[in-house]
Amino acid sequence: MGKFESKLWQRIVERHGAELASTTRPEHNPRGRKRPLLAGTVLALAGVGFALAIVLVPPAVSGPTPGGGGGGNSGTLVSDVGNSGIVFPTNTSTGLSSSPNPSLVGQKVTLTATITPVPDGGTVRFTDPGTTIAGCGRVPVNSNGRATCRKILTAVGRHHVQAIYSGDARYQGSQSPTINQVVSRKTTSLHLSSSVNPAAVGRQVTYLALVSPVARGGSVTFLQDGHRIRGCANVPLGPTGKATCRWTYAWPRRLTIQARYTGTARLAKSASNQLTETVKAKHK
Amino acid sequence: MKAPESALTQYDRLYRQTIGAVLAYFARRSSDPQIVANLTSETFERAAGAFHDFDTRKCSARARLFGIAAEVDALHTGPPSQGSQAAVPAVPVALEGSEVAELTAKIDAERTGRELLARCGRLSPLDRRAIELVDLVGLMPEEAAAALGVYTAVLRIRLARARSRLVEENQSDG
Repeated sequence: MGKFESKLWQRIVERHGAELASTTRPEHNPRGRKRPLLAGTVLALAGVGFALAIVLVPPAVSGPTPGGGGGGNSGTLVSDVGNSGIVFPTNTSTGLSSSPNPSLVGQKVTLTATITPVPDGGTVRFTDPGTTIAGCGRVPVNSNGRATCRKILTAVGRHHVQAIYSGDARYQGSQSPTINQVVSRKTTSLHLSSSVNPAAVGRQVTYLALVSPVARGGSVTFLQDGHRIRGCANVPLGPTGKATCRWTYAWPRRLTIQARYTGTARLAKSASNQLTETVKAKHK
Repeated sequence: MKAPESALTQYDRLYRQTIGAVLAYFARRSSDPQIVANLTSETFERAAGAFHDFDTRKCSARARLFGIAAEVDALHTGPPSQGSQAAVPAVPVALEGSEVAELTAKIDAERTGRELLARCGRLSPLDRRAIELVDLVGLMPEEAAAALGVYTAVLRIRLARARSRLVEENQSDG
């Protein structure tokens, strides 16, 4: 490669190297045969062999020597270098961990990407899945080769999180395997009590359901022997996390009462304890 | 886990494979080393900027590259108002004496190609480009068709017609 061609390549690497290094493309499978060229045309120029040389470059950063990727960090081989002195980027690999996992809705999750070998720059983009996590699109890699993103994940379910290292002029981009970050709703408990037990025929009974921790939103349905109590289905939860159901019995009996909480986007549904309510005949 | 090959590595491969051909492409069009350097630089920079969009399922990367070279050439040779973007790079390539000599040698080496292009002067622009990309640059007809934005069948017809016209002109010239 001639001096101009090498210089032009350096110019391209300076201007577009980071952008190109941060993307991956499917390998092109060139189409088979070549056509003969006319004499005196480009063959002589295009077919010039490119002799590879190897040079030592100064260490990228200080830190533990990582393995793999064809490069270390102390006077080590960065990559193959053209006879013009063009440096090609070192391969990297990216690892990803999250904590805590599983997490609760509304809880901060720390995503940590670790790049090896430790690069001297570049950023990490965290995706979920394929879409950049807001605020975690360009997290700089620190001197330990780590990039950390703390994020509250609000959607319940499995998040297929991945970290993509951009690379820079000296280090090639890479992407981590996908990890499953499980985000679940906060568990709730529901306590059911009766205002009077045993109750008397013709006297009103009030059932009180209390959601813990104190919740806002959602509703409670009261069940009597497994069937909804009329007027006591989907009772909205009050500001203190309580829901009540009032009922008057017409004849003596023995019933099993239970309440069910629907939950919300952040809180899991729950069922209360079973209460045995005895209704006695009116004392004459 | 093996790191996937980055676009930079692929682009490097494309650059090595095609830099000579692209230089020759512009050397056939201009005898000014500075213009050849600027247009070559602009072609590869535009290609680098658009490389992530290169869809090699539709056409090869070098076909796409020569498509860009043709656009750069059109912007350079066309009227100033025609193109919204200048063909010359914002920061022209600063050439040293040895580089000027190197490019001048390439321009000289393209004398035969320039003569062929001059002979193609009476052909339509599409016929001229077709014969250049296939017979001078060495692209497959499918690649040349993709670079010129025409169907392969159209390209083949144009190519056959252009070649026969050149033969006829040669014979009539004696």
